[in-house]
Amino acid sequence: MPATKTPQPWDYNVIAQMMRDYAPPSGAFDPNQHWVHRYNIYFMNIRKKTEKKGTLPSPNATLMLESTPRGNEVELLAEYSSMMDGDLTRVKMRCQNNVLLSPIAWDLTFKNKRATGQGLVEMAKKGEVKDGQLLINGKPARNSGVKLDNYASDWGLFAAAQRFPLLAPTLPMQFSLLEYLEIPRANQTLHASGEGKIQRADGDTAFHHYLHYGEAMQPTHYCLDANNRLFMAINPRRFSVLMDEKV
Amino acid sequence: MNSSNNNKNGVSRRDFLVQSLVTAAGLAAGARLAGASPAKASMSASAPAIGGNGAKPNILFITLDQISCDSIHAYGCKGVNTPNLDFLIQNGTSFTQSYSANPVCCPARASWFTGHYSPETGIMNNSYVMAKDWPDIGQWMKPRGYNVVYTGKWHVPGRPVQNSFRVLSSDPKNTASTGDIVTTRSVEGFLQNYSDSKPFFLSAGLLNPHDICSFSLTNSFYKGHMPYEQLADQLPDLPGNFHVNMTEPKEIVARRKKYANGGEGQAGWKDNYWQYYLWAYHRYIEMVDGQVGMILSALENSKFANNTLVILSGDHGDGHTCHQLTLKSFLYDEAARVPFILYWPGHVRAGVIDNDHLVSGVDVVPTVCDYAGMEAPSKLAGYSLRPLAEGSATDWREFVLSHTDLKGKMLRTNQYKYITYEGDPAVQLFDMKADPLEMANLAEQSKYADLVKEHDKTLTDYESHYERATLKLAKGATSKNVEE
Repeated sequence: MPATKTPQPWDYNVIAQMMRDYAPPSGAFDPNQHWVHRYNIYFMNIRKKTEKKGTLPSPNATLMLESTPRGNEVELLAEYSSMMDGDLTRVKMRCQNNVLLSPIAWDLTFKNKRATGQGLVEMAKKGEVKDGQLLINGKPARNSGVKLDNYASDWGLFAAAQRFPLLAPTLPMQFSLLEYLEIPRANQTLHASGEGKIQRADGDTAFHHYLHYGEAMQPTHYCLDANNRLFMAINPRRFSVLMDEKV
Repeated sequence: MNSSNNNKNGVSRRDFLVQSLVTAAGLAAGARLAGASPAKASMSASAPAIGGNGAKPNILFITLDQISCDSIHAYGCKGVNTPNLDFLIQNGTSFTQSYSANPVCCPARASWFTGHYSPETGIMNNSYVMAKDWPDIGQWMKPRGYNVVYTGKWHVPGRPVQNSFRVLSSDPKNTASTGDIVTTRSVEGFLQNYSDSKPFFLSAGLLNPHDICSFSLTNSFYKGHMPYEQLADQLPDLPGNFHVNMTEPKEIVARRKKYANGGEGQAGWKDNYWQYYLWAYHRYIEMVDGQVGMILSALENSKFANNTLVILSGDHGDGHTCHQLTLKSFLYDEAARVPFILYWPGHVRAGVIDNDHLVSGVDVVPTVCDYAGMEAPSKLAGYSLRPLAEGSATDWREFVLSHTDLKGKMLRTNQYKYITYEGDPAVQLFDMKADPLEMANLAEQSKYADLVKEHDKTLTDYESHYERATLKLAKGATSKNVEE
């Protein structure tokens, strides 16, 4: 790296050290076919130790994404756990087969199986976007003033980013975001941001990345390997790394 | 409620306040601690609880972490979008002269939940544990007919939350980015499922914008240079008090020096990197605003929408570049002044932004007890805000206190703020009406010497009535404050 080049989040020593022990999924990958990705999510403020040499530390949270083509739509299943109390958020969404995989309708459940309040917190809800409006359980969500026309979900962006090189959207792109499939966020921007490289014990991994920032969003890089697989998403507060893949 | 609010010397705290202020006002020969007047019983009289069909109301206490009062859009902050906090402000009664009892997490929270200032809880900074057995609000309300429930960040060392509340979800322990959504979902689930006939007190501890604490660490690789040229036109202006040119206590000077030369590397921060800090802080505030919106939606769509009082506050603020400081544990307004909002359509006045009355984190317990129709614990430092929220009070306290770490103290009157650190002759006095950004230290001028003395005497006299806790460090801790 030339000395004058602006450092990037993956140059941060904690991340760089972790990634040396990282063994990414490799080989051909088609984001338009069925796939399952499981990510470890780390909170950047915590210096975690690796429990076992050659492995990554235990994560602060996990995200599983499963994508299945369904005719003119894409079905995305997301399972998120912060790993605090056996919490699990599970959401199955129907998405438009567009560049942002805009969610059309979804079912969401939440449980927290180890908490003392277990029986009190389990819940389910349905969401949909109709005529640019977010509806939760059939009712209009709190008025945010955000029209949902060109929009993505935060978890869905993990899947959508893998199709950017194939669909070649015009960048920079303005869009809206449904954070947690609940909170409409305006003024999001996506840029093509260049190429990078991480050093690993068994060889370097080169990647290209997209930069996303906007309301309620720290600048986030979506990093794709040579096969357009999203293996890392990183911002100053959160670092997600692809642990395994099933196709 | 107030009848039991006596200290061990037999002088009520409120009587003391009135006496000391009348004395101070007299000394000022122009009543510069102005407006001292006897407090009226209406300040704290416990009115009947009100709710659906006269029943006791449910109470939802939403707490945010590290939010400065002036960082909310409805209060005039540009460059941040906070529609849900704005909604509460526009439809409830909010207090802009609201002070953290001690602007760092553990002490502020101990004061919230017990109604006592830090010297009485023993939690002077994040390294100490609760050292007196003052009842917390969970312990107090449970035997008095409420189900008391907690979720999210707690952070009161020496007082395990599960001993006082039923816990829905654990403390996310400084990981707002992964944990706040779990806190929020647990509130949603609770509001869907709760079916007990008893009213509830639910405290929901959201953690953001606390993630800003990680800014220096996780942006350290940028070496103080703004990394994203794409954001250049979005960066907010630096505040009017960014540059400091006045006498400050040694602790503040040392803090700035430490951040300049330590791991934060602030000595190398260009102006646009300070702006980037502010930009990032605003994004974290937007994140937690969204969580507040999810909770409000869940409440509105529940059967408790009409009989639940919402109280929202913050434990402390963040320097957010004011006085060229970041983080907390100091007594300038950016760290010490926090939002305090009451919202209950039909019961709390809507759209009232109260810029006059001084309120404090120690007011949470008496306010909650007042609305719950129960006597508050004895010897509290705080007052119920209910009369103010309902427009029925005419007199109010004349000052609030705040403490920081082991030595720092603040006395805030309607006109002035006095800051002193034990053993440090460099005290500060600000005219908060003329100089709300705290840029001119009047204590530097000899003509204000008497006023400084009066404030110091009032502070010292008040402190002489504390039932001080014997300080006890947390296991493995040193007395050094840990700000995370």
